[in-house]
Amino acid sequence: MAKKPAVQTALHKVIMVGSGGVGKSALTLQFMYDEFVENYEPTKADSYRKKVLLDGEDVQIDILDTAGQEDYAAIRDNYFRSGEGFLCIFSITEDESFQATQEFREQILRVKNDENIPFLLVGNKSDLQDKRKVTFQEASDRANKWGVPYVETSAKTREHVDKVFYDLMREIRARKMEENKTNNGRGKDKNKKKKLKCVIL
Amino acid sequence: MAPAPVVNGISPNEGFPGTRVIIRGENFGKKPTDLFGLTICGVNCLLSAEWVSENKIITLSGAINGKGDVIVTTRLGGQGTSDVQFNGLQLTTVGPMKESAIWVEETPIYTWERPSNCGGTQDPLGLLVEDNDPTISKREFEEYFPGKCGEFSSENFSPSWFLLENYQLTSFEDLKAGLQFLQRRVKDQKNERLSFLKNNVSPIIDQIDTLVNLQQAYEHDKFIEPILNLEKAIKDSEDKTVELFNNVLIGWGKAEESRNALNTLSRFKFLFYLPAQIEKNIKKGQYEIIINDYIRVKNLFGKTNISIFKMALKEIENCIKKLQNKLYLDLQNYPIHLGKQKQIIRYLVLLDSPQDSAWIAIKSRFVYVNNEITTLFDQYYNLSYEDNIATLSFIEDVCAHLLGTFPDLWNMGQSYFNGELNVKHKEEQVSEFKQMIRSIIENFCNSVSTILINQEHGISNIKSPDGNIVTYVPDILQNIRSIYMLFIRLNLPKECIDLLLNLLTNLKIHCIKVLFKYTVEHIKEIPETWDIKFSETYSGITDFPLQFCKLVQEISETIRISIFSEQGENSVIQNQTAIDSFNEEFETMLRTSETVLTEFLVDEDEENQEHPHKPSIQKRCLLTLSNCMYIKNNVLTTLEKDLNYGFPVPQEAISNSRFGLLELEQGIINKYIELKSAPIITIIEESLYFETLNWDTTIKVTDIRPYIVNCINNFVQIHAEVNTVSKDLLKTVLPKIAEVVSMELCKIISSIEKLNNFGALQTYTDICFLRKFLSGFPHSKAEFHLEEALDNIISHLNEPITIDIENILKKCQNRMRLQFTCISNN
Repeated sequence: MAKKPAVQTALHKVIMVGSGGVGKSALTLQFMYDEFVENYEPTKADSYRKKVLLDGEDVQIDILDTAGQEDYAAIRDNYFRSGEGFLCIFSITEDESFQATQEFREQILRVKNDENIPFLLVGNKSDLQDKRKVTFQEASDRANKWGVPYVETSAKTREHVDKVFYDLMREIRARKMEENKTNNGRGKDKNKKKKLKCVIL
Repeated sequence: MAPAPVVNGISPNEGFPGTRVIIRGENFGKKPTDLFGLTICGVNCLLSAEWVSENKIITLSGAINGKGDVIVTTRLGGQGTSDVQFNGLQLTTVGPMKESAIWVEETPIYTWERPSNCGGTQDPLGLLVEDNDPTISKREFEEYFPGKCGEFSSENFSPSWFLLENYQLTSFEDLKAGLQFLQRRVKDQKNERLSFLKNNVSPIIDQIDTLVNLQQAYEHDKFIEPILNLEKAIKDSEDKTVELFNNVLIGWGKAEESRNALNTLSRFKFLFYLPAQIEKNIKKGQYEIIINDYIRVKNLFGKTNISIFKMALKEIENCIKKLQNKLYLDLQNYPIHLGKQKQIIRYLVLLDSPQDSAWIAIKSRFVYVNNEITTLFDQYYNLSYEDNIATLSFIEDVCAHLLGTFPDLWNMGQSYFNGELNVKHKEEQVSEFKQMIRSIIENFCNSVSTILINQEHGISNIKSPDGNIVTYVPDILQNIRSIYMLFIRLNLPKECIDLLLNLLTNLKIHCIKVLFKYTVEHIKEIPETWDIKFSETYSGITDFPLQFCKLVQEISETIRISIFSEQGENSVIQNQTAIDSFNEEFETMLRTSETVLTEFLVDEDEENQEHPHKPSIQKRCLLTLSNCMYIKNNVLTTLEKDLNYGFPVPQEAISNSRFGLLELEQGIINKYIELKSAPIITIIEESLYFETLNWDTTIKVTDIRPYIVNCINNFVQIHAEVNTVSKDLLKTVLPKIAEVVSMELCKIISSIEKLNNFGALQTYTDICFLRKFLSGFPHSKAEFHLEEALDNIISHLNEPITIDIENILKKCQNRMRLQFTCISNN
């Protein structure tokens, strides 16, 4: 059953990364179900899948909402491997979470071994402007340095929530089309092989 | 059909058995009961599923191994699909070197299970592989290698499975090195047993010692018949168990009993509370509730054999007895409203009262009604009879009482015998009841008639403050009649109504009589003012006839209105003796006028002083005469024509009365004539006798003698007197007087023995003149008598009449033309 949509419609695998409590699950649930969850419950690893219309094309988005807590840091590599795009989230009200994005970025690049992996830097909790600790400029600068877009969102007000997911999907789609063209030359990559195998299975 | 449920979110997406899993998606049903099924990787999780919303279910994962779909089934949507998968993790022991994403319970779950081959199973090739996570699930392996197993020690060991499972990512070079390592280890194993013993000498010896000790102990025990001991111990424990069980059983039984008792008590709370409840309700007067409860109790527990119920019932019965007694008292506590009494009877019937409450009520009501009449009667009887109003008030009271209470009694009786009160009656009670009704009516009739008729202080003595009985009789009759109407309305037996009708008739007759008598009294008391009334038709009467007429008319009106006005009560008219007596009374009444009129004439000197204005006897005579004639001619005629008593006006009485009046009239006329003619006669007598001496004198006859003038003047005076009273009397009275006077004159003339010529002539002239004068009164016998007198005188004449008498007469008439005019006026 899971195979069928993979054949018919494109499936984009998105992974939510970021420190604990920055609002990864909140963003995901807001995007998926238009609901805002007030109470905080640490996530282990949640899977979501949704059919969306991306620029007139039916696609499926598969979201892996990961654990932000350090306890689970060891198993991140496994998750990251399957991801096709990443939303790296921090809270604009918490500087530590912003600093941690650096670490996530590095880990993703290491696992994926790809500088151009679809990636968005997301500053969440934009509704709490009065508690802001990380300036837009600061975050923007970092994104520029990495060569990725920076978007500020609010899971509470739903501001830019759809935007970040759709932007990321567009990047993934663009990236896949590019890969299809140069499919032959890039057969070396280990992950690539493994992924293909998975899709076939 | 609702759309099929779709799972598109799962949190977390993997976990050990018992993990709390939040499943999100669409169309999970509208309510918790819509959720029919929930499987995760084919494992049913419905039991722990908690339906949160249409989009959310929370459950606990089951014993799942490997990845699988999450399928939700709903009542309307059927079996759904899953977009996400759950990865069930197995509880595995993890070595200290193994990387794990979760916190590992380091204490082995199964303590006795030790790793079968320390280190060997994990990495028999001696290759420290980092990433050896099984990316292929066990299920997939089973598909690829049916009947095989990846376990080392298994008989169906499949090397390919093992390699795929553990060294999937290892390069071929490494595997070759691993093979060499394995071969080396297999070689080493041959020496391993010896080296093992060497390494562990002391523990092994300990073990051997222990085994020997065990063997010895076992063999020792064998001889002490351990089985017997065991048996005994088992038996003991069994006994103990039975004892314990029995104790528990007994305890349980007792608990059960007391619980039953409590249940019973609470179930029959109603029964046990009832006495108190009844008391309370009696105070509140809510008998309906008591009756309902009582009936319920009787239905429920009436045939019970349980002593406590019987006791309770007995108590309730006592309460009910009390209530019954109270109700009996209430029942006979008069005055009581009929509805209330009926209600109490109903209560008593419902309460199964042994006595016939309705009959008691009827009897007591009868006694009440009857006694009240007697009491009122006695009260009245003890009063002084000076107070006439008391009589009326007694009648009013007793009638009001009967009106108020009798219908209730009758209705009660009717209800009783109609069976409305749900009581069966006996035949003899019907007659008894009739007797009651009869005795009440009799009592009433007796009381009333005693007071009004038979007593010397009856109606005839009643005098209202203004002395007019007429206003009272209708009231009394009206009261009695209202009772009669009541009886008619109540449809009483005819004999009862007849009793009352009889009373009413008697009373009416009595009343009529009394009224007549009263009127007689009244007529007697009419004062005579002697004021002359003039009217166009009749002049010269006083007030008396008018008053008399008015009284008679009044009384007839009263009788008609108060006695004969009611339809269907003509019993009085049918009673001939009553009619006869009425006629008698009526006549008496009419003839009272004669008596009264006579009386007016009798009292001459005594009352003269009292009535200074009383006219002379002559005038009174005239007035009375006039009155008498008026009554005779007018009043009686009017009465004859117009009187309406409600029964035929007795013509005989009227004619009798008329006759009587006529007689009286004659008497009065005679008396008056006597009175009036006497002086004239005296004058004539005196003149004639006086002048007898002078009969011899010879005076030429030139004039009439003075006595004739005197006579004529007297006549004129009488005429005037009569005329002042009534013109009508002139014709009656004056000719008579003239007649009497002429007759007397004739007698005197005839008694004269000797008369000279002159005297005779003179007398002849006188008488001629008188005759001329009296001829003014027609239809008189006076002329006849005067002719006789003249004849007599002529016989005395010696010579024929020479003088011109006519001339003299003419002259005198001319002189006395005033007198002539007086009488010729009419």
